[in-house]
Amino acid sequence: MTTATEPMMRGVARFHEYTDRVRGILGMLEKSPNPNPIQLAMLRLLLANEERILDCAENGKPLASIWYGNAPEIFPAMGIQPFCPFDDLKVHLELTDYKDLKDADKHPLPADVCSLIRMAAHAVDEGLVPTPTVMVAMTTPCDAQLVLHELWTNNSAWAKVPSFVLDPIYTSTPEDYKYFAGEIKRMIKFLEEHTGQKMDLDKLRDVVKESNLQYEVWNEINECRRAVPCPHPSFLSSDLGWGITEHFVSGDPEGTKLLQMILADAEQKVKEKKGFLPEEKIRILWADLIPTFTEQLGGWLAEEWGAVVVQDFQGFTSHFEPIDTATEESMLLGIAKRSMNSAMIRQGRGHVDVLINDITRLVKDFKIDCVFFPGHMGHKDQSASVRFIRETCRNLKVPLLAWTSSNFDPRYLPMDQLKKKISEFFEATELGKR
Amino acid sequence: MIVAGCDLGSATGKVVLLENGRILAATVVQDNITPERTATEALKKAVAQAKLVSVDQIDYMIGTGYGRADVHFLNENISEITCHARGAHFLHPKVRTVIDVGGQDCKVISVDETGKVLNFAMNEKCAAGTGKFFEAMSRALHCDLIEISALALESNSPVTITQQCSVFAESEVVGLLNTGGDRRDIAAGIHNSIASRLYGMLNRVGIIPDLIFSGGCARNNALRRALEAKTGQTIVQLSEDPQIVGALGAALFAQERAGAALGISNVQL
Repeated sequence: MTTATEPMMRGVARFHEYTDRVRGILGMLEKSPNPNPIQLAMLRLLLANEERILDCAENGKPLASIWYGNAPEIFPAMGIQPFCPFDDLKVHLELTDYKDLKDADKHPLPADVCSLIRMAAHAVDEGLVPTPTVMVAMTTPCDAQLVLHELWTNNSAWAKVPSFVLDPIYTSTPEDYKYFAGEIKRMIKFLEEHTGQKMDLDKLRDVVKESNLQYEVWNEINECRRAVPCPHPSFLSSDLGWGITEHFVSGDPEGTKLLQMILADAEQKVKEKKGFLPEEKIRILWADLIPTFTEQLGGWLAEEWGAVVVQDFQGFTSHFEPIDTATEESMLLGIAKRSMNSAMIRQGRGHVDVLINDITRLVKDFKIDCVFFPGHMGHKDQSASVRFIRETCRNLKVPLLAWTSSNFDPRYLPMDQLKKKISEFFEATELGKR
Repeated sequence: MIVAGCDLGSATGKVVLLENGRILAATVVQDNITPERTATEALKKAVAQAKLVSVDQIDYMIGTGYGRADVHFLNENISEITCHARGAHFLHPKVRTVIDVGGQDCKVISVDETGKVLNFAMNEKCAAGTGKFFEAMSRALHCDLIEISALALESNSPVTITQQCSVFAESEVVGLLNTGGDRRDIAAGIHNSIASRLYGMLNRVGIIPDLIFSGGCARNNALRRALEAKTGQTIVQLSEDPQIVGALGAALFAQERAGAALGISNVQL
C-alpha cells in the first residue's frame, strides 16, 4: 500500500509540464491589453488544482483518484485532494495537438472501447498521472469505467492502491438515496482508514454550503440560457459549471466567483436582449455529455448556421436541490442525491423514462428546435435507447439528428464529415432556411 | 404562374411543371453527361409535353438531387430529402415514412403531418440497395431491370444472398448460377437481401405508417413486395410515377417561393 508518507513521483514531470504551460498562457493573457476575466479565472483555477495535485505527488500528501459523481464534497472536507486521471489530459489535449489521444492508440485495449477510457488507461500505464493514496470508483455511469479501475490495479505502481467502489442503486426512490448515503458513509470510513485523514463535519458543512451556492449560480446561468436569443455560446455553461462542481476541488470559493462572473454577464445580456449571435436561427439540445471539441464545433455551428447548442445533459441543473446542512445525515443524503443525478449517472442508470423525461423537459424549457444525439461509441447503453429518443422527438415535433461518433476523439468521425452531416440535416429539415 | 422542379439524380433527370398546384407535365430522361445538359433536356421535354412555347414561360425553377448545384439557370437549390418529403406528402398527406431508392443512393425519411422532415437515414457510400446494385445483379442474371423483377415475382423458394456489397453479391450470384440455381429464386433472393438492408435503415428512423416508396426502384414490384413482407406494412401506391416525387417536391417549393417573391399569399396547392 502506498502511504501518505511515501513520495509518489510518477506523473510529476507531466504535471510540471502542465503547470508550466498554464503559467505561460496566463502570463501572456495577463499582459494582453484586454484580457478576458473569465478565461483568466478559469486558468487560475486550473493552475491551482494542478499545483495541489503536484504538491501531493511530491510531498506524499493524501491524493485520491476519483471519477465524477463520486461525492466530490467529501474529499476537501477530509483534507484529501481528489483528481480524475483523465481530466488534465483532456484539458491539455487541444494545446498539444491531441498527442496523448494519438499515443493512447498504442494501448492494447479493443478498438471499440470508449476513447476517454482508453486515454485514462494510457495515462496510468505510461505514468502520466501520480499514483494516488487511494482509489474510488462507482458502478455507474458505464461498465467501461468500472473495468478501467480494475485495469489500473494491474499496473505495478497502482496494484497496491487501496480501492473502494460506490454502488448506487438502479432506481431513485427515497430508500435508494438513503442506501447510497450509507455507501458514502462507508467510503468515509475507508478514506479515514487508508489516508489517516479524519472527516471534519464543520468543514463538510462549509464545503456543502459553498457547493450549494455554486449549483444555485450555475442553475441561474442555465435559466438565462433559456432566453431567446441565448446570451452565451454553445456548451459554455456546461463546460465551466461541470468543471467547477465536479472536477476541481468541490466548494472552492474561487469557483463560485467565476460562476458569478458568468452569471452577471448572462443576466446583463438577457436584460439587453442581446444574444451571443447577432441573429440566432437554430437552438440545439445536445443529448449527451459534451464533446472535447466544443470550441471547434460550436464556432462552426455559429458561423455557418447561426446555431447554438443551448443545452446538453451536463448543463441540466434544474433537478438539483440544495443540500440541507443541518446534520451529517442530511448532508450525506443530499450529496447522495446530487451524485446519483450527475449527467449520465442519471440517464444511464435506471429506467429509460428518465432519459425521455429529461429530453422532453429540456426541449420545452429551452425552446429547442432540434435534438442532436451524437451516439458516443462508449455510451452503448444510450445508443440502445435511440428508439425512445426518436419517438420522444417525434412526439415533441422536433427533428432529431442521430449519428455515431466519439465525444472524446475527433478522429472517430472527422470534423468535415460531421459538418456535412449537420449541414445535410439543417437543409433537409429546413431549419437552415430560417 | 408556372414553376418547375428539377431532380437531377445520378442515373436520370426528372422535371415536374406545376401551374397553380396542378401538374402540367412530368418527364424523366436518362443522364446526359452533365447535370446541366440533363436538366435542359428534361425541361425541353416537359415544355413540349405541357404545350408551352418556351422555357422562358417558367416563372421559378428549383433544383434538387446530387447534380443540383451544377445547373446555372435554376433559381434555387433544395436538399432532395426535403423535396422527397414534400412531394410524398403532396401525393399522400397521410405519409409518415418515405423510402426512396434511387440510382446511386437510398434513404428513409420520417415526416410529420405537414410533410416536414423529422429524421432520416441515408446510404450514400456504397451501391448496395440502389439502382446500380440491381443493374449489376441483372447483368449477372443476363436480364434487364424489368425482367429481374418479373423473375423474382415468379419464385416459390427464394435463395438467401448473404452479400449486400454489389461486387461480392455479383460473385455470389454467378456462383449460384454455376451450381444450377434457379434464376427466379436467385432474383427473389437479391430483392430480399436489399429489402433487409432497407429494413435496417427503416428501423433507424422508425417505421410509422403510412409508408410510401419513391425513386426509380419504386417501380420494381418485387422489391415493393419484399419490403412489405419484411416490414409487415402495406406500402401505399402513389397516383403519380414514384420517380418524380423529388421533382414534384421541388416544384411545390418553387410555387411557394415564387408566390412569396410575387407577393402572392396563400398560394393554393
